[in-house]
Amino acid sequence: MTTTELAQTCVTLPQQTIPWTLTAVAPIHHGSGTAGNTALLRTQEIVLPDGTQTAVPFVSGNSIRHAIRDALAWRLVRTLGVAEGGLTKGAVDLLWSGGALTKTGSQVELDQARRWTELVPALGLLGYSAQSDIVTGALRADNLNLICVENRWRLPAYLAEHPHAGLPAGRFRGEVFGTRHDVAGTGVDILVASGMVQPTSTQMIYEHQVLLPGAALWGGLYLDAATPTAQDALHAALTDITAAGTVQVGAKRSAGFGTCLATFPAGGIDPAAAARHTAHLQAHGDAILAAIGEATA
Amino acid sequence: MTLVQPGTIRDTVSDGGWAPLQITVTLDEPLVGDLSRPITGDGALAWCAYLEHTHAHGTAHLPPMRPARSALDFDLGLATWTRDPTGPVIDDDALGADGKAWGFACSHHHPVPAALTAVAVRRKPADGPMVRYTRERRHHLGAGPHKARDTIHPAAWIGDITWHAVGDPDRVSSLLTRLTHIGRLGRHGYGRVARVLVVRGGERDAWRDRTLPAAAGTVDGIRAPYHHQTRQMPCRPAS
Repeated sequence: MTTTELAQTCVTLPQQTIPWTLTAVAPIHHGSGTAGNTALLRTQEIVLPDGTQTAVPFVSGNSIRHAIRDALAWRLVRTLGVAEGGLTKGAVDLLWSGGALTKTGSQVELDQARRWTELVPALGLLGYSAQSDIVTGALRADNLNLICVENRWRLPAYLAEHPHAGLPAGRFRGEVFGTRHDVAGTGVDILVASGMVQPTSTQMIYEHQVLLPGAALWGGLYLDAATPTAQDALHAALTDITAAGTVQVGAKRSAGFGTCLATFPAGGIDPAAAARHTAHLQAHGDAILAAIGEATA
Repeated sequence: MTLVQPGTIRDTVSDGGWAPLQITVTLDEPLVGDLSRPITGDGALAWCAYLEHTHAHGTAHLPPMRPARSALDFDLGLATWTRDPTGPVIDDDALGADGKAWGFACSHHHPVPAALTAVAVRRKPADGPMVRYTRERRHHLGAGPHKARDTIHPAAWIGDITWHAVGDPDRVSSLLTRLTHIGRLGRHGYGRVARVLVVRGGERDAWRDRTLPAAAGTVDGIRAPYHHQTRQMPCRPAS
């Protein structure tokens, strides 16, 4: 893809707003430190309209951005049939974590950045670091804030009448526990070599503060001057992360936490975007892999 | 046309076509940034005008910013002031008509924190994909460019941001519909703009609470992009 071709794809770069609301159908744990063996919920300290302060749980926009980056990275390696062991550490880091500065220099390689962001739409959408440049992406992801009375002053108009808008945040907080199972005293013990001494016990209860199922959060995704390929990338990622009919946020997802129903009150995902995104990846596969290699060389 | 032609700007602060304006911006997420610096109204409007321009023409339409050449100026719907330059002129294109330094008639806001807080931005290492897609033997989480990070940024809840200006309320209101966030980490949801109110009225001279060229002053910016060296000269700060 040449620079001239790229310029032709950049005719108009609209701003897009995609508000969304997530209702938890499983406990959500988005953690920030521990107290004893309890993992604490991440909270945001806020100032209420009367000047008093409080703290309300939230899910960071940073983690939403990572979910989108992760979805696009997996789509890329699957679509291009990347062989296992076929990437460098820097390439994996670029695709899944946004890359890193690896060189010094004060000259921004504009044409190079233009080419990379257009060839690898995830980079244009989310931004990246490579060589000596930090390049901003087109996507802004809101923190997902809890619908509760403490946040009532900043609720968007379409949620003003939500039944949770008059309830305190504490109503939606809870704690769950898990158990690390101890095999001592079970039939598994017979597999332990004779003569070995078992530790007294490895049993452990661990606890998580959570947002309870039924809690609702809202936020928005915004595109500032995104190219058509970056727009398609966002919708492709949203297609992937909502493919099961739900979306997962926060931690402990493999243990069943964080599942939410997502609604898009202003219209949702462009159903054709994922196919366009995949077609772009297929059409430029070799150039995409070359660009990733170049960026992480 | 949204771009200002170099060398055409004159002092229009007293022109009757412009109205005194009071602009109020309310944030509903903490502001991440340097609280010792004022928040510039014309800086925010210039960003909005840039977005308006790219919406219509794409980014490929604009030339890159260069250090020794004047940066582009957009029409912000504000009156303009002029003064004699108080520092060396790097590029005549940065000046208005008659070789005057110029800027927009819009005050600066000094943020007063209602509460100080902090926000964390995490960088999750891609251990799983590295296991699968690389042949590396190990990955150090605490060193090197690919390490895990949890970066804490100081942030603050601030009251309403207020700017006083002289300008066209319709143009200013139209531009400010594009104002989505103020400060750093906007792409992570911080500094989000909840409401913008543009009201006609107030003292006509209130815009003067801003940096203006002054020979005995300290070097500061006179208009957006404030960091650009063609915008910097000795100034007296806002009060």
